[in-house]
Amino acid sequence: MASACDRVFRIIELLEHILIHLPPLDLLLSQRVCFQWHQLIKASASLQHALFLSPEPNHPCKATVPFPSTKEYPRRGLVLFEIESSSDPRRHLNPLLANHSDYEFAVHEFKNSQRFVGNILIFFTTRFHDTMRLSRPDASWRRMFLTLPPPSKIHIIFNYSIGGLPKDETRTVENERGVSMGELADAVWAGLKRATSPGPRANIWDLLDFLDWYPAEERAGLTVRLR
Amino acid sequence: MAAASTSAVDPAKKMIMLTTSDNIDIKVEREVAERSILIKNLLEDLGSEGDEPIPIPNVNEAVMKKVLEWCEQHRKDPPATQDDDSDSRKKSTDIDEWDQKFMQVDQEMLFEIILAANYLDIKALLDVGCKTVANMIKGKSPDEIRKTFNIQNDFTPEEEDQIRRENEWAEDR
Repeated sequence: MASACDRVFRIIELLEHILIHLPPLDLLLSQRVCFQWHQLIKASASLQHALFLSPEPNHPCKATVPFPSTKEYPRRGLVLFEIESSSDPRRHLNPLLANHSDYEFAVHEFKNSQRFVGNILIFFTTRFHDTMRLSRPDASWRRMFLTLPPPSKIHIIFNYSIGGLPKDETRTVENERGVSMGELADAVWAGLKRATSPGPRANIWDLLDFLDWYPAEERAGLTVRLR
Repeated sequence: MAAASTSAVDPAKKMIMLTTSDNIDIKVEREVAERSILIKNLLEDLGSEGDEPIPIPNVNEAVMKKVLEWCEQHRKDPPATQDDDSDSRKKSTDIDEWDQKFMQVDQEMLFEIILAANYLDIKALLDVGCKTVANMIKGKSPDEIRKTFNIQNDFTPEEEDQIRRENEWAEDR
């Protein structure tokens, strides 16, 4: 007779009941265990939701927060986002992205920040696009949402300078079903390419300047890993 | 108070008999056994007597005793409500201390308890069992997970590599 373990894992509902208790990162990586686990995680609505890959069906995205003045943002090749759904108390940040922080790409949530109405901040530098493991078209983060419920509209603010003159540019990405991280990143990349060509690209030094720009209490939660 | 103490026994304290898959009869208080929705419904369907032993053909004596030990400890727990679902997900893998000790059994027994809780319809016990397994999965690599639970890696190397690359961005932090 098969072991009890085998028998439990063969019952899809039980395997799902076990996997739903995993933290998102463990859930994401456990897709590699075997074909059955992979198929289940791909097909299960509740597991997809736990991975920020599908929105809650009954909660439409709402646009509520006014767009703040661009004067409040730092200069130079960094990209900032305001998300119009921040007044929704149920909204929570995707922990897979929130914990992600390195040279190319980081997400940070400001709690009770007076400076930022939207209180979620993501930044990419253009190095982001040079890193294969992030930029590959089939990377799973591209299909994820930044928050749940997902934002239906994200404003992107580009700050850069042309011939020493600061210039701001904004773009808006919209998707009624919720803007995916892939859609957001593509819009950022298109904007950055325009903003920085043919001049120098935004790089790690911009990022460091950016960190200094924030008062210590606001950057406490932000970590940058140096390789 | 005095009026209630006639010859009739408190129905909750009344003993009932369960017959396990290996043909062992186990005597247990009705209130304890009724943590199982399956047994509760069976008793209601059979009428109030419950003198006949109730056959539990999917659970053997060793597992049944273990399950009843849990039921005894949790006999007074309030019944779970429907909207507990979203809450229990947030709390994820925290398990109360008594339950943690209770679940320190060999792996075969742990999964037997899960199967029994599922069959007997004891939602809270099923949750504890599944959380315990989730805790065993947490922090392990796919290969360690396979080894722990004796799972066959049935991907082709290409398939596994594809999934690995899709999620590479989230690893090694």
